[in-house]
Amino acid sequence: MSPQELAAESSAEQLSRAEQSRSAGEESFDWWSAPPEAREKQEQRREAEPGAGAESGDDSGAQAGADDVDARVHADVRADADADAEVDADAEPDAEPDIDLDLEAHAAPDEAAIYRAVHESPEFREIRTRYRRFVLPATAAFLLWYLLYVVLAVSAPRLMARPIAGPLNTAWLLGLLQFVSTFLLAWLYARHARAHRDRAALGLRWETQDRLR
Amino acid sequence: MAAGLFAFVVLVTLGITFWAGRRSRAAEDFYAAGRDFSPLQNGFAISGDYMSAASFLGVTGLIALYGYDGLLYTIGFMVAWLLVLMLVAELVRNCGRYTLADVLTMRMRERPVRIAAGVSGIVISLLYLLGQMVGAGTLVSLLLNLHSASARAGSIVGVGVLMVFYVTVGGMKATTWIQIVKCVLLLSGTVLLTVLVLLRFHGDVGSLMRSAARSSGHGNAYLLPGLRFGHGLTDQLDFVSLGLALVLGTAGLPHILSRFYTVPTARAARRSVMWAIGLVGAFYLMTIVLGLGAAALIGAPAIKAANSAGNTAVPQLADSLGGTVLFGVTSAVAFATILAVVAGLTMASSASFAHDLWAHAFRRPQEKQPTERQEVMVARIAAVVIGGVAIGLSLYAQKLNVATLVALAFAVAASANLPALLFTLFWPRFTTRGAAWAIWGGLVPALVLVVLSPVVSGNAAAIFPTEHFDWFPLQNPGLVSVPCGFLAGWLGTVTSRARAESDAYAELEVRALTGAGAV
Repeated sequence: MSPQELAAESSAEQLSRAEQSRSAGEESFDWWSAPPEAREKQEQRREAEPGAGAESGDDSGAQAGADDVDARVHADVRADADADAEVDADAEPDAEPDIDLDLEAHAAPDEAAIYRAVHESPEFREIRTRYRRFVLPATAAFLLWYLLYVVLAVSAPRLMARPIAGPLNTAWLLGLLQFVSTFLLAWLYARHARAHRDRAALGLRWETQDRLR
Repeated sequence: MAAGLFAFVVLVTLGITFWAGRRSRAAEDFYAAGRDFSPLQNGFAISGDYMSAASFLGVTGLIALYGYDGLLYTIGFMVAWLLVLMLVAELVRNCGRYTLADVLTMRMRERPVRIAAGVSGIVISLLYLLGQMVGAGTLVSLLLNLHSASARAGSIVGVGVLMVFYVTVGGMKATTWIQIVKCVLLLSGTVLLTVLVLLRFHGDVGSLMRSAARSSGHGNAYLLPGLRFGHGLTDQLDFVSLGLALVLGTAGLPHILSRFYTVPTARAARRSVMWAIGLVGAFYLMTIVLGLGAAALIGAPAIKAANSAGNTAVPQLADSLGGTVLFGVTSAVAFATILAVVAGLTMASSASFAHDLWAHAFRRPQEKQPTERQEVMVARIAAVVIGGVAIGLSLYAQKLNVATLVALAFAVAASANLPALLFTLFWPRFTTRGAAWAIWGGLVPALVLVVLSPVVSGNAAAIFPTEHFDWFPLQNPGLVSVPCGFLAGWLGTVTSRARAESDAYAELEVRALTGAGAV
């Protein structure tokens, strides 16, 4: 095993250990909803500013205060995870940037720095590599396989007409195989994402949002 | 009987609309249904959005009339989901808020990109709407046995009024629930018909295929490619062009993209796409059986006599399998399908107008943002206007096969939206100019080629049969316009003076893959 491979492996190991420690004591923890401490913070802030809307991105937004839409537009950039104001030039620079969805202004300079740091971190690179290493070859493969099928269907009539079993000919077999390969690849992708990406990505999500806070 | 079922469908959907519309006044409720749906619910809603009348009536009709060439549609529609699943769904969920332009403007300057994306969103939805409403006209006139032009026009107007009502009163929440109910209805109806067809042939698919080939009047050629598209070079290119548009178009359809915002997280978006792939795949496999069954049991001449494009093959099949009861049920299911899909499309296009164009692109940089309430109000007005435009256009397109029309919408989506979206997500150097050029560079060629194609003029089946400006030989522009979109995006990027913002790309990538800071 080359040194690089070893390094990659050990960093992956660290990553998974970090995940385990994070998940310890939370057997039934739903990885994709907010962690309890984040929820608590949210609650506190909500109590501190009762005028603000009562919703957050990951909880149900449907319960949002539908009656105080206008109040929300101005209050929630500071107050809530579900900022509705797209551009709010008045937002204080120390507005909580993790929940400030004002993407075009990049008001807080440290926000960009944090994203850049996360972007360069080995944890993130690992996630991206895992994602791309599966998705890019898989996309290329299924597109080529599909285009090959389409081109064959129009340009190789003799091959397409070759009988396989009863009325089933090559053309129908290839067509049905497209269905099979689609189901198969979708299943493989979901399995890969669950096994190799979800936990690490979620861990990094909370870490990033903590740093942004 | 059938009219009663139609009335029932309308009443149920109206009930859903009032129920969902009670408390949806915030923009998040109106555009994204509060991001409150579960993956299973959203999977059904996505499938509902996707399994349109074009598939149920149009594709089945094409399979019944042209056999193997109809199958290509189902395969293209199906394989396209892999692109959505792997490259688009999760990343778009993490980066955007309500529309495609939200993802693009994470990295790009607002105005040029919003204008381009807003316009393309409206155009694509309108083309798609056209297909659905033409289907509605055909269906209602067949059902009520009214073949006068005014009866068709009346049913198109009726469907248009209903869809505008769903969207303005119920927003995304009503639209989604209507999709879910409709999807369950459609799948039940399709399963029932499929089982009946298979029972008729004692479960022997081979004898079904043979019998379909015999009754189609084409014999063995029915089971081979080439009946619809022919064997000339132009025909072959048309086939490839259609295949390309179908497989790349889904990932650029605005009403599909906006579905991912109705679930709370990226993982939920992925799981809803998994559900959708299962449901859509099962559905298309069954449409193959239905198409073959229609060919075998009714025969091509009778199908063509009822509707030259084959749009009525399924109701005819139901009639021959189960008499007026099954005919009524099937027609009501198809009617529910049309209502639900047009509502979803109107929703997407009104979001494009209000959120992209009115609230952002039409603002000067220093101008104050409109409030959410104003934006939602504009979205509702836009729904009314777009509905009116769609009704007007549909009255001119009644002779076209609905699957052909929808394939055009796919081609435009693949040419205009997909290049900009993929470049934004995966190309660090992509710039604002590149994004705007990618959208315009795909949208304009696609539309121009459609206007110059045999769909619009030059033959008996065209919109203007007596005019001759069919200079572009292919029915589907995808083969030319999709590369145009990618090329324009690349060209715009390498010629722009401004460098891409690396910070913005870093943020986009982190957000896209981890969900940090996602709404």
